Amino acid sequence: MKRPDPAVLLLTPALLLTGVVFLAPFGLLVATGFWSQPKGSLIVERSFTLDNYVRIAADLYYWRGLGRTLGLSAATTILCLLIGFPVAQWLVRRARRTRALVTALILVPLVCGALLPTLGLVNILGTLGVLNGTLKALGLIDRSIPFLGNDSGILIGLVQSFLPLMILPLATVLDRLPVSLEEAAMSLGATRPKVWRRVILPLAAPGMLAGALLVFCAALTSFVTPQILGQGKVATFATIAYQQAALVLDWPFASALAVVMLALIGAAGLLVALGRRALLAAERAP
Amino acid sequence: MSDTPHLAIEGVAKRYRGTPALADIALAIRRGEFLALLGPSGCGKSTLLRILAGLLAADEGRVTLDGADVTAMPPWRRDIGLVFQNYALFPHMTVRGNVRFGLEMRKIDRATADRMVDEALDTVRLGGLAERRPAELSGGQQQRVAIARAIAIKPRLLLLDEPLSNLDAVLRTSVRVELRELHERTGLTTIMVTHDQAEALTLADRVAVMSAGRVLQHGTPRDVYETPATAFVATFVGSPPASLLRITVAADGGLRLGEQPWTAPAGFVAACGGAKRRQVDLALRPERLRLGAPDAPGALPAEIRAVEYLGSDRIVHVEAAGQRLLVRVDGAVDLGGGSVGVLLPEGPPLLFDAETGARLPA
Amino acid sequence: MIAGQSRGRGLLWDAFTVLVILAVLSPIAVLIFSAFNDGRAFRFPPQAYSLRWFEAAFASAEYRSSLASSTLIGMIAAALSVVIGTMAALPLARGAVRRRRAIELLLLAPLTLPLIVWSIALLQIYAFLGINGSLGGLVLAHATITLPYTVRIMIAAFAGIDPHLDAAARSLGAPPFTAFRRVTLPIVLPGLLTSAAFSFLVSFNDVIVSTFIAGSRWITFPVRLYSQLRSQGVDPITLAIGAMIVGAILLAVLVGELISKRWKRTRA
Ligand SMILES: Nc1ncnc2c1ncn2[C@@H]1O[C@H](COP(=O)(O)OP(=O)(O)OP(=O)(O)O)[C@@H](O)[C@H]1O
Ligand SMILES: [Mg+2]
Repeated sequence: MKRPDPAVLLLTPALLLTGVVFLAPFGLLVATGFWSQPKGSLIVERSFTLDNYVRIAADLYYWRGLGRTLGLSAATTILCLLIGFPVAQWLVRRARRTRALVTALILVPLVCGALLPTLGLVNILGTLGVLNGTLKALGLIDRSIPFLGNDSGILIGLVQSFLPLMILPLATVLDRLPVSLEEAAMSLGATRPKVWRRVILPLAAPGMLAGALLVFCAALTSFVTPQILGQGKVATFATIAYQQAALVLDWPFASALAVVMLALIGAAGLLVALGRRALLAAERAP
Repeated sequence: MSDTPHLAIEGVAKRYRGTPALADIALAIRRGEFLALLGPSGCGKSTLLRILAGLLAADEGRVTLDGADVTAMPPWRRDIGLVFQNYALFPHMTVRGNVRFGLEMRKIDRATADRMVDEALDTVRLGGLAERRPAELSGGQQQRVAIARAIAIKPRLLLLDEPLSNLDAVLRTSVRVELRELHERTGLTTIMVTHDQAEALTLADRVAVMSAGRVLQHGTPRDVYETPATAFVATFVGSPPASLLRITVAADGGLRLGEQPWTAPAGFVAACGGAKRRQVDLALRPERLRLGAPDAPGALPAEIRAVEYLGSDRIVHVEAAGQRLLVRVDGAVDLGGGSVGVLLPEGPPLLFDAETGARLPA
Repeated sequence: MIAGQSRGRGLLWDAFTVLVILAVLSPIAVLIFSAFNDGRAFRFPPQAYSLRWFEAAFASAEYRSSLASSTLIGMIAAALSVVIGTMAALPLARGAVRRRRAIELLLLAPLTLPLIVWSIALLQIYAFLGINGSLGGLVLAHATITLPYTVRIMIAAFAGIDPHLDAAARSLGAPPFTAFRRVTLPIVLPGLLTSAAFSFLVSFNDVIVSTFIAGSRWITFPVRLYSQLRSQGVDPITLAIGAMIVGAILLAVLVGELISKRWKRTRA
């Protein structure tokens, strides 16, 4: 018998954990999405049916949820790009010795999980919260603006939660652009906006796409933030899936909803890959 | 017209968060001149170049180009071509795209721009590579693209920051010649930063030697070599550079080498006359020294410590009165024994105040 | 700074960044602040301040048991993740593996694929196996989602080691274990600590996966908090507990930053 390669031995537990515990269930999901569970029963009928998908496609409620989810995710992505780009560039160009500290601080909400920062946000955005209280004290408003229970609060929450996912990959990409590229462009007559358009933007585009994909997927599948900040009044695709899986306990239907989400993410990924190819092609063009 | 300098730098100073990087720089450069900024690493050469390009704002002083004050002019309006040490080619553009960039910024129409690109590429002999990407070029080719990009905009001034330092030794010598030819062909006023004294002496019409944020001497290569303004210039220029021999001038005007009284050649005592009770440094160029018998008349007795064989020459390290000196001798000369006499050159000695480094009048 | 430009542009940029960082941190700051509010419902500005919710938090047996569950699960999951992840990172960092890119991509999948989708599948598998809400089931799930963090951090940590260092130490007469202890370990120790801390925190704070596979026996603090938030709204006791958690995390990050700075300086 051949002696086993030590590298293989070292990798086996990790590959098993990721391959079997993490990846295999995705396959199962596709299968159970085609099973069904009669209304009011908890017994799953293991025979092929398209009922779940027909039910999703036929009900306007899910379409509305889908539309709202896509809208919120797109808005979150765009806001994160607009806010994240200058911050990422600041980290690379101006942060100097504070860079490690600022990066760590940006990471803090990420390791605090989905729930605790949301709990704080409730106290910021509530009718008696910090934001309304401050605006009132400044005399800018005299009646509270409702942020909770509607899209605005959810959008604020999503941007706040996922901004780090945009800033960090962007900073990595921008780090690889030597300042001398910008300086060369300026010495050749490019004003600041031109430098940005012609040099920084094309070179940072892969990082922007990567960050955008991360944020978009995170926003699309997030259910804690929309649930808490929407106060149960706003149905997104992920909160519906959560309800079906954890409360209604209709697992085949929940699986079908999950498969739809997966397909949406796949489509987003494809779009980004196409965008990337288009960029490369545009650069190659004379 | 010919009296007013093309570029004038007056009293320029720069500090990086309190630490001075440049102090009171004053230089005047004539139209069409090739100036080398020469100095050791960290002396502020790049800082000065960046101030000229407008990439860095000077804290004090004025920069005048063609008689107009450009101190506060942003880089994109200066029309100054700049070649970076790492070339800074745009990786997402072809060679043509890189060279055309500056022309596009000037809104030159496509056909004219393409013609100018070809012209610039021909000037640096890169005609066939226009459609390549920077990543598909060798270091030497990348550097030529960087030069083509800078000259394509027909700049008023061409600045080069250590243009040869990323090239291997063989390429460096050939590019050196090409740079000189390029300068003659284009007639562009050129400033090149380097820490290689051979590069500065061979390429430039004039050399400005810098140290610790100051210009110590500004003159022709010959001036800088023959009549260094300070001890530092003497020990920085030349290959190998001059050695310094520390001499103590006693109260009565007598000279000492270490503890021993020294009967120096005739001109020395007079030259040191103004420096009583002080120490002076005598700069000795290795190629002006000769070795003889230890007891030869007027020779400095010395011991040979090491010999470097360079083919045509040898560099002999000798120790005289406890101090090291370098002597260049013919490679074929056979060196006997350990004891030799160092024969000093004729003519006025190069003497410097040991404390300030300033040249003593001969 | 470029010639002919005022300092204003840079200062504006600094101000914008500071504002964004403050906004990102504001939920955490307000969480801590609001725990000191005396009233049952938070209002800004608070009418009175008190520590009574902290006292109540320490007195509450119910929360104590869920915090204990979270801690235990977090520690076991982190230990598993660090051991398995470090083992995997070693050959990957040394580049001694075929198809390295593919393996890395596979191991990082839990970071890129949506956890909610996975959880919906896992829920059904766990139910079939009868391990929903069990300690083992939770630990397994948490080890899986924390593994990619460890793999990433440890690959970076190992990549920072010059493979000749170990040989150099041995050539200087150090026996293999001593060489490991004196040379390799000190270099990767920060990585080990970072991945342990990361794994623990990700597990401890996880609500996305746990809330699906939770049962009645092992209820973690975030799972309890989430179900309570959905049904009854904010309980000020949870504000106090949350404040202590994020306060501890913030403190740990700042101290870690300080230590790593000092560590870098002594090495420089
Ligand atoms: N951005 C900066 N911040 C702080 N100090 C700087 C900065 N840039 C340069 N310095 C310092 O200013 C001095 C001059 O730097 P400069 O880059 O001009 O030197 P140089 O002569 O070009 O050296 P080299 O030959 O190594 O390129 C150095 O001591 C350097 O450390
Ligand atoms: Mg330099």
